[in-house]
Amino acid sequence: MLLAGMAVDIGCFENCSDFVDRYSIFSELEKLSLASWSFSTEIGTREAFGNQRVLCNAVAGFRKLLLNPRLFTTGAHFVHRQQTIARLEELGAAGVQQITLCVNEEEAAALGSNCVENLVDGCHAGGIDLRLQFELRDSFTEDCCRIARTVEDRQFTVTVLPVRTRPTRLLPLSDAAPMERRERMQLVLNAAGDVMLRRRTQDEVVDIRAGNAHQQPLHELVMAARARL
Amino acid sequence: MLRYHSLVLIPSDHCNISCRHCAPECGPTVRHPWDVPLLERCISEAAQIPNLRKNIHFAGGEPFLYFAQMLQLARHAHRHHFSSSIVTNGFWGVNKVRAAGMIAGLVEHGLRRVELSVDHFHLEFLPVRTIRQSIEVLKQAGVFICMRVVTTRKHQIDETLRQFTPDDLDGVEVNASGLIPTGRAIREVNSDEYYSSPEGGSGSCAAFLNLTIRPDGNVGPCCAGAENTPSLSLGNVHSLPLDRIAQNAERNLFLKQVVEEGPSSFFERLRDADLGHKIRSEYTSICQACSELFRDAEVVQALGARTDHSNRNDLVNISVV
Repeated sequence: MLLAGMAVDIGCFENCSDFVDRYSIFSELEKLSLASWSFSTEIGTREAFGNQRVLCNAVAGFRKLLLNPRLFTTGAHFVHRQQTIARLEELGAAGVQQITLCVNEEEAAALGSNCVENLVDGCHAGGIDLRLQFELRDSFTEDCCRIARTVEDRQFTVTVLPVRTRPTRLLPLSDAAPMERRERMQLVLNAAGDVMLRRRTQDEVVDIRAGNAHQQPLHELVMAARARL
Repeated sequence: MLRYHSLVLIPSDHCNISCRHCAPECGPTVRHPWDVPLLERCISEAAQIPNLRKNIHFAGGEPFLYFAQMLQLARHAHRHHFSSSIVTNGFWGVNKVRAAGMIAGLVEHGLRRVELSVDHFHLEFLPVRTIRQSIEVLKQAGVFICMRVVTTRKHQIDETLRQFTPDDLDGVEVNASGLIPTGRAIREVNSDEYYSSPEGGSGSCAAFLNLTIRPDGNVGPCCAGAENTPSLSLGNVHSLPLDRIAQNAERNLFLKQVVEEGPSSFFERLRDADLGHKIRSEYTSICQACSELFRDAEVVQALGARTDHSNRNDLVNISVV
């Protein structure tokens, strides 16, 4: 299998008096000797925003490894215009190059157009590329179309990644069948420390549980999964 | 050093449809045969260009009208370790079995990406069903699909999205951008439909360059208008090898200013030359500003005269007009 990238829940990091990398992600990734040019990193499996200090520190940690993290957001935190612009300028300066506004049908319905406008303007201010990802069932809902039009009204190009919603199946590593050599997997780490290898097929998302980073170092879990798969 | 994302081949402006927004004004009556031996030579020369990413991008016109020639060039390019990509209107999806065979042949010779031009203007000519079948064939072949949508205030992105289901577009990157009013669009699309703004002409394009060969052999630094702008021509492959043309471009200070600082970096010089009236208060994009200004004989002459005093190398291309 090919380890194509990693998605990290922002809850894997916290700020007490100092920034805390709860699962030593950065030192563990170094041990995996990843090729930064072919390994994509995502922060916030659903939502990266909420604590600006934690996010900036997490971005800095990935940047030190020469990785360019993409931030995922549902857009809910961008209610205040000036605050949004200031935060995105700071993230742009820290090296963030891309933000994906990722919403399902319910999140799209709840997302106000003012938040989208603030996000677009903040991304302009920070020099950050904004993309839209819509997770949909049967059709392009009016709310998703409204979000796309809102972005289009404010910037010349709009990139949309439509995704049809699929069920997710959780599979223990012991039950997973070996993969083809070039099959691409995404490493997913949630806030509770669960380490999954994610594979998307036409019909479903398969999360193969490799273990928990509380109990065993991340690189060991990945190496064991690689050997098994 | 200039960095080119692809070698873009525009062997012909011949297309099966004639969209109202088409910048190079392609259509069924515009016929050029593909000069395959010349383009094979260019690909071999392109393999020697260090600042060119090894990808051939077939554009047009409609490249699938010349499938046999395209396959031959893709094969030749693949031997030189190039991958390939195509921009197409997807008409060939009408026959799924035949389409699957064509795509499989191209994949075998390095096809990695297909850009499908789909929007209100293309859908005036082509049924959605055909596009849907093209997407299906491309997905089955494992080719990355980018759907290119041209938008206006009247025909926004969602108008195109709604023609498809999320299942159709699952895994497809939809990339929409505003209409650039050049070519046929100037005559056939109302100007109040364009997205233009006072900042539209600002910015630069150094990160989006493509070494582009036109049907007449002229070489341009991009495929978004400069390839049809004589003052930005880098040379002609009928008279110079492509790698030599790329080398010469490195010494072209005028071109470097255009791509690194953008067309707006010339505004002050134009105002000084009493040509401020040539600058619009609003542009849709730097591509519109670039195409309009550098195709204007007075503008080019004024900039050429200024350039003449400072550096003769700048005149390499300016003097073409």
